This record gives sequence, structure tokens and C-alpha cells, in this order.
Amino acid sequence: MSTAAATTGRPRRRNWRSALEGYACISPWLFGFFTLTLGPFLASFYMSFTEWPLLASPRWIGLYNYQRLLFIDKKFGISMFNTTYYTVFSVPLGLVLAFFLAILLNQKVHGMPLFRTLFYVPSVTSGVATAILWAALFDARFGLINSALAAIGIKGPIWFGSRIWSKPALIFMSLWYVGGEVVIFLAGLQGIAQHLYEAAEVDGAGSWARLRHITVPMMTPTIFFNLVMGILGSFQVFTNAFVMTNGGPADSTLFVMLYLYRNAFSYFQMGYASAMAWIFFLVLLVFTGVQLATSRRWVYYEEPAGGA
Amino acid sequence: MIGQRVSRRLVLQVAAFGGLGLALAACGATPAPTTAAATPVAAPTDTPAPIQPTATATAATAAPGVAGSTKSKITYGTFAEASQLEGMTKITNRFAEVNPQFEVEIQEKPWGQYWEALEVQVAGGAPPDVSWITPNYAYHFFKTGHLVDVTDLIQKDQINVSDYVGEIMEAKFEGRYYGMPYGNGVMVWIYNKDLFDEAGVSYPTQDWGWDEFRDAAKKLTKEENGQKVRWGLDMGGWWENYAAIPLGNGICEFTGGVFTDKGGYFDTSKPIKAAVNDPKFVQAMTWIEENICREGITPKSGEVTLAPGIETAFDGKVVGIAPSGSWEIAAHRKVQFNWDLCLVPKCPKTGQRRTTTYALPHAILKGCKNLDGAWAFIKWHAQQEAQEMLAVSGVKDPMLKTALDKLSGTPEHFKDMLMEHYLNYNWNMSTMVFDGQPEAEAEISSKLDYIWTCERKYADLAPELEQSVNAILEQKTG
Repeated sequence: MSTAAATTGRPRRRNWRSALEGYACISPWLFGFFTLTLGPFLASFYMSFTEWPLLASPRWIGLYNYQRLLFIDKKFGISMFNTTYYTVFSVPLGLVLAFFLAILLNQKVHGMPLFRTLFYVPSVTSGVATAILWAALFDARFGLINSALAAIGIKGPIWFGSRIWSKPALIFMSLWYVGGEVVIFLAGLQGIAQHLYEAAEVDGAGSWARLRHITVPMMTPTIFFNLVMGILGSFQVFTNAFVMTNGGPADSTLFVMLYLYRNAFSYFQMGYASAMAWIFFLVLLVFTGVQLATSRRWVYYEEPAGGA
Repeated sequence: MIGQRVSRRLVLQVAAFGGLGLALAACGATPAPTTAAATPVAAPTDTPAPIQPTATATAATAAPGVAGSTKSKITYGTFAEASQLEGMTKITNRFAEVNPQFEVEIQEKPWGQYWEALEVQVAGGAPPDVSWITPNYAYHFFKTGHLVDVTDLIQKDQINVSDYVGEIMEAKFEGRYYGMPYGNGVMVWIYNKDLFDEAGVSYPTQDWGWDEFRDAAKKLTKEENGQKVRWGLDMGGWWENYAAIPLGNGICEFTGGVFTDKGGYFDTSKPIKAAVNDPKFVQAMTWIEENICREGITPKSGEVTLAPGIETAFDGKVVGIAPSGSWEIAAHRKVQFNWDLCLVPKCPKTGQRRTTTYALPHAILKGCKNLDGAWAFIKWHAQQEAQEMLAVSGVKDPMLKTALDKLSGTPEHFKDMLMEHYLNYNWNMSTMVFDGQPEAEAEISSKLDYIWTCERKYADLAPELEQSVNAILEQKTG
């Protein structure tokens, strides 16, 4: 390739043009990042080494905020555990459900655009309105969920009055938002070349075999994308806990973002909250890096002929 | 076309890092608001958004002879509830009527977000001109140098501070005044007379003690098909006040209260320590615990469920007796059953009654844009006409002694009790604020969930709670 480029110059020009197009595509994000995010981002790094009660000037305290977070503040550990618990269960469940729904919505049946819209609508409804709706569904006495359980002889718990059931309730509720993932899966499914299925059928492959040996492998890049985004989103869970439980009962739904918010805007410990944000950022960075590194083992990219 | 030149691997990896970028954006100076948006759906009320004018509460009534464009605007920050806004707006409209050079813009926020928003507004140099500020927050803003000293203005305008109940406005620090009187509120108990009649229980009297209330609550509690459908005595979201009542009234002989500097959750003698393992405190908390877990007359956390549209367990007729505040009377007026109020029980041993009184001054924060207007506004609200309007509004109880007898937002017999309370109360409203207090209170709140859910006994929890609260206080105070 490099020899050819040296000889003709065309591939290099093509690469340059390709990169330019790529930057053009992400330019809105870059503009937002450089004008709105970068400044506070760098400022927060400085603030993380200070004690800053908002109404007074920041005071340099070195690494104390980090020391306190990692070795003194038990609540930060509790919030990390809660967040990890939530992520470990909500992300796989969400992926499986979204994948299943996408396969259903990929069928050629009448009125499919309507169904696709219906499944996506919850993803664009207000988070607070959704939280209030689900609080009613989880209501111990009048709620639909406990009524359904009662119909099959199970006495439903007081979902948000129990340390044991509060997190599972929020995890279950997170499935409400799978519409976004469904749309991405659907796009991925529609990008799979039909001739692969036709060839498999000729070879006598059944629907399960086609799913296992064609659909899933061809969908791994999309699964990977949804996995990364799902983990990032789940780690930052905030709205539902803020509206429905405020971290309770007994800190069982105290997630990192909620605790960070409390430190920043209830306790006005901006420096401490900044340090928390940076630790959390590093955790997410490591998680994402590990995912990218391991993706080479299980994600299959179908390179175009003469690929980039 | 681009897809042919840029590999899917690159696109997805860039997108994945783009997602990480969102997380990175969450690490800005104001982390929570942006991180909230990283969840699938951004929630508009997750964060302390800038206060928006309340359209219905703008008191810019057209004053005769004054052009709208020449009016001087006064912004007025409040955490008033919806039921209070109507009465409040009437009063501000009257102010604008008699002071036609001004117009008032009410900026209302729920309690939970009000203080967060105010702190950010003050930090940004743009607070409302006049703010509702409770004494403990007044102390916070005083301590950080953000309250306007109005002592000289009070003297210049010859305002007689002895005209007001209690320590004037509870915003007096180091001998100086940092606010003007506005309204008062007192912790009361509200009870459903219909449910009392149905259960054949006589109504509470002011001589009732704790045992009488517990006995009545037992009779009011009701089960249907093996399931509890009504509880005698509610706790609501008032855990701290609920706890304060038996504490304050001494079950028994405990003279503290949560927010007083005589005791409660904290021993404020230096260094400040948790008092949650004090034997008397344990006794008081155990009384509450017994009501929930042994007697079943107080619902566990989350156990009360309400039909859609019902705001409180009391309004939903699910509880017979509930803690309330005299400022909530306006909200209770809409319920379709008979109810009445009583003061909290006396301590049988001492015969003393202590309750929590919430004084609410008007204060001016530094950085406000209309200082002259703000002073005119808070001064007018402290004088006879405004205080009388307040007395009939049900928004708050007046602080001006001569307006107290105009109280008509309350049931008639209760007015006398309130007047007696306000005029004779041994005022000791706390200005106690100390480093680590919000964190310590949050720790107490989260640990007490074990009691509200009957997972643990308070006597067992108390030493552990004491230790964790003291650790927070030590960490904060060095």
C-alpha cells in the first residue's frame, strides 16, 4: 500500500479526503466539546485538588479529596457497588431484550413501522414522567406489577421500601429504555446481506442455525457498540434514583452520580465532587479500554473488498 | 460512500469513544446535570435549572398612571407550595398596587431544589432581590458573607422589633439584623374526624399524652382481608420532625429537639458529637419503632400507597392522625372530609409541651439587582396590612403580634392555641449550623431507613450510627 501510495499519490489523497469527511461528520460534537466542555473539564481537574464550598474561593488541599474518596468515605464505596450491581444486571438484560425485539421488528409483517415507533417512543419520553409512571406501577398496593403477581399467588414486595428489592426494581425499569438499542440493532440486522441467509438455506440451515451462525456473528459490531454505550449509560444512572428513591432505602440505590450530585449541590463540596467525577471517569476509561481490547477476540468486522 | 472508505471497526470504535466523551463531559465543573443527560432520556427537572418566573404569580398589576416600562422589577424567590402561591400572590399584588413603581416577579421552586438553585445563583452573583430564607440557611449565608445587613435600615425607618413574636425574624447574628419578619409556622397534628367517629374514638384534647394517642391510633388502624388498609398514626416524610416531637416533649424529660441547640441528634458542646445513642434519644426512637414494627399503627416506609391524584396519606384517608404544619392548612382545605388540628402531646411527667416552630424571615442576598426595591418589599410585608393578609391566607402565620388575632385560615378553636403558642413560646429557634451537618443528617436519614422498614431495632443500630456520624463530624471538623 505504501509503495503504491509513493508511486501514484492517489491512496494518500484518498486517505486525506476520507479523514476530512470523518472530521466533518463529528464536527458538531467537536465544536461542542471545545467550546462548552473542555474548559469545565480542565477546571474540574484543578478543582479536584481543592476544597471549594462554592460560596468561597477554592483552597488547595493536594490529594486529600482522592485520599478521602478511596480510603475514608464508605459511602463512595457503597455507591460504586450499587452502580456496578445495576450495570451488571441492566446491561445484559437490556441487550438481550433489545436484540430479541429488533429481530421481531425486522419481520416483514403488515404495520411494522407502527410497532417500531411504539417500541421507540418510551426512549424519548421525559425521564421524570417515566419515573412517576413507574412509581405507580411499582406501588405496593395499587400497582400493576404487584396486582399481576397477586393474580398468580405471589405477594409482591414493597419495592422501594426494601433494600433487597429497590435495585432490582430499578433494573427492571431500565428495560423501558431499550428502544434506542432496538433501533440500532434493527439497522444492523438490515445491513446483513441476504445472500448469506439464502446460501445457508440452500445448505439446509434452520432458523436457529441461521441466527447462531449468521445473524449473531454479523451483528457483533452492533452488539459491541450497544454494549459500550449501555455500560457507559448504566454507570451514569441518575434520574430514576433521584426522582423515585433519592438513594434509599438505607443507601441501597445511592448510585455514584446521585452521590456526586449530593456532594456538589447539597453539601456544596465542589472540589470533592470533581475528584469523584475524575475517579469515575478513569473507571469508565478503563472499562471502555478493556472492552475495546477484548473486542478483537469476538467482534467480527466484515471489511469491504480492498478494505480501508 | 464514506462507509466504503472508513471501516466499520473505525466507525464503531470512534462512536464508542464518543460515548466515553459523554462520560468525560460529565466530569465538568457541574457534573451532575450533564451526566444526567447521558442516561437514555434527559430529565428536565433533574438539576437545579434556572428559576423560571411563575406566570400566575407575577404581581405586575397595572397601576394607574404608571407606565409598565418604568416599573422597577423585584424578583422574589420562594419555596412556597402550590397551595400557598395563591394567597402569596394576592399579597404581592397588593404590594404592587400600593407601590406602583414596582412590579414583582415570583420565582418559585420546590423545597428540594430551592436551596441548591439559590446557592448557585448567589455564587453566580445573581440571586433574587428578596428570598425566603429559613434561619439555618440564613446563618449559612451570613457565615459566608452573602447576607445584606439591614440593621441601619431598620433603625432609619424606626421599625420596632418588639412588635414581633419571638426573636425578631430569627436572622439576627452577632447583634445585627439580616432580614425582616415574614411568616411563622408551627408543627401540629392533624386528624380525620370522620375516621374518629367511625372508630368510636373521642377527639384528641390538648391534655392528651403519648399513651392516649397510641391508644386512639390502635383503634383507628384497620385491616381488610388480612391486609392493612388504614393506620392510626402517620409518619409521612416528616421523620425528623416526627422524631423531634417525642424527643422535644420528652418521652420523657428529654428537653431537646432536632433543630435546637439544646440537644436532639447532636450534642453541640464542642466538639460537636452525635447524640443518637443517648439513652433518652434511644427511648424516644424506640417509641416510634414500636408504633411501626410492634403495634403496626404507623406504616412502614413505602407501605402506604395512594390512589392517583391523592397527594398525602392523610388526604387519602389512609391514616387517621398525621403530622402537619400550620402553613399546610390552605392545602387541607380542599379535602372532602371533616378534620381538625391539635398541638402535639404534652409530656405526662413534666406537663411540658415542645414543638417545632419554623420562623421564615425575608432576607436580601448580596448581588441582588434591586436593593431599594427589595428593602421596600420586605418592609411592607412586615407591616400591619400585609401581616393581616397573611393571617387570613393560610400561607403562613403572621409574626406581627397585632396581626395574630386576624388568624382566620385556621379552625377557630385552633387560633387561640396558636396565639398562645406564638405569644408564650419559649423561643429557641436554632441557628445551629456546623460543618458536616448536611452529611451527618444524610447519614442519620439513611440509617434510620432500617427502622422505618423494621429491619433492625434502634437500640442495636444506635451505637453504630453514633460511630458513623461522629466519623463524619470528626472528618469535617478535623
